[in-house]
Amino acid sequence: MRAALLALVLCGALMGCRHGRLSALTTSPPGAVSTLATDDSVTSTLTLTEGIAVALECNAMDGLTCDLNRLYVAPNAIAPVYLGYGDFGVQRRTTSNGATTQASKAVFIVTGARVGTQVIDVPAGSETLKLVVNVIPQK
Amino acid sequence: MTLRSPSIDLSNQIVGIARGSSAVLLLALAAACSGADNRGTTGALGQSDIIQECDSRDLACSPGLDVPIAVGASETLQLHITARGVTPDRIALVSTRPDKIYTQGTTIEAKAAGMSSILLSNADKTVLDFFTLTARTPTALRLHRNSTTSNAALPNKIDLLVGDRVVLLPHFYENGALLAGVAEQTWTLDGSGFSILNEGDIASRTIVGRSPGTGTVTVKSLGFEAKLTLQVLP
Repeated sequence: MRAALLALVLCGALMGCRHGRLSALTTSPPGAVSTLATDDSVTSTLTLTEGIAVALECNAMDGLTCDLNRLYVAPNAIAPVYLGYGDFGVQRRTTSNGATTQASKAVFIVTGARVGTQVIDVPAGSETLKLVVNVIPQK
Repeated sequence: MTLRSPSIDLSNQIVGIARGSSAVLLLALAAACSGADNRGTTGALGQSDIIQECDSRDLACSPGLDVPIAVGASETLQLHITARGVTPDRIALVSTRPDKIYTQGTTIEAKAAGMSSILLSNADKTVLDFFTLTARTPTALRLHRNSTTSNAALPNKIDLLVGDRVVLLPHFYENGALLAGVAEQTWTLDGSGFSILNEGDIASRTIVGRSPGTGTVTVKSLGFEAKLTLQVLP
């Protein structure tokens, strides 16, 4: 109990409770599924119909940016990933110490190449977000 | 100690949306006037327009990409990147399921029934946009008349006068629903009183009434067959 309370206090003091997040920019076509669910602070699950692509945006914690150039998934994987370009304007982020960055959205495209599960590490500032991709069969 | 929360400033984007609303309206009006929107789609990220490569006056294009593509058939696409300030470098079409929809250059070919997203990839493998197509197995082939007023399926028999021209094009169907796509065709003509012309369009033939008579035009494609009885009246 004391340990949990201590962790909670430390979390609040260091702003460690705040994490980066992934969000979906596109929906699935009729007859297909692309559902993004947040499991815990750093893990999300994407359920995706095979053959379907979905665009995700990465926002790092504390005003940092997601370095998607370090994001790599082999082309023959269950869920190949591509760097995306988004003409969505500039976002200005402010860190907890007042510094600002201005950059375009960090967008990447996840595709369901074949049925199965794949875990993708997404570099998000000083942490790594886990994206579990469950590719399900087409109806 | 006071800690400031991280924040994302969206004010510039909100101003941009307000400024952009009139531009969006103009774009919508332009699309409605051009008539090109019924032959294609806009990419999922809104940064491209994808349309069937076709003369906008040609009603043979009317299925466009609004319907699934027939397995075994292909379509050639025109791609327009609409992202602001971007001149793309050698856009390539990348299929997420090439076993279902295969891409070669700007041509897509349906290989098997199912769905596949098609990525518009820049030379550096950055994806600018994507769209999803569906392939369906055809169950029938029907002949359509291509005119300035109609692209409806024809009945089994039509009458012509000497000198009349009618442009015929075959379309694939799946259980009564129209499909897109063109495949290799074989045209044959039995009877007298009319000629069949190949005017260079792989998807159509032109029938010309020459003299009074009757006959049958038959087209075969992907193992399906469609027939039309013609009567040329004096």
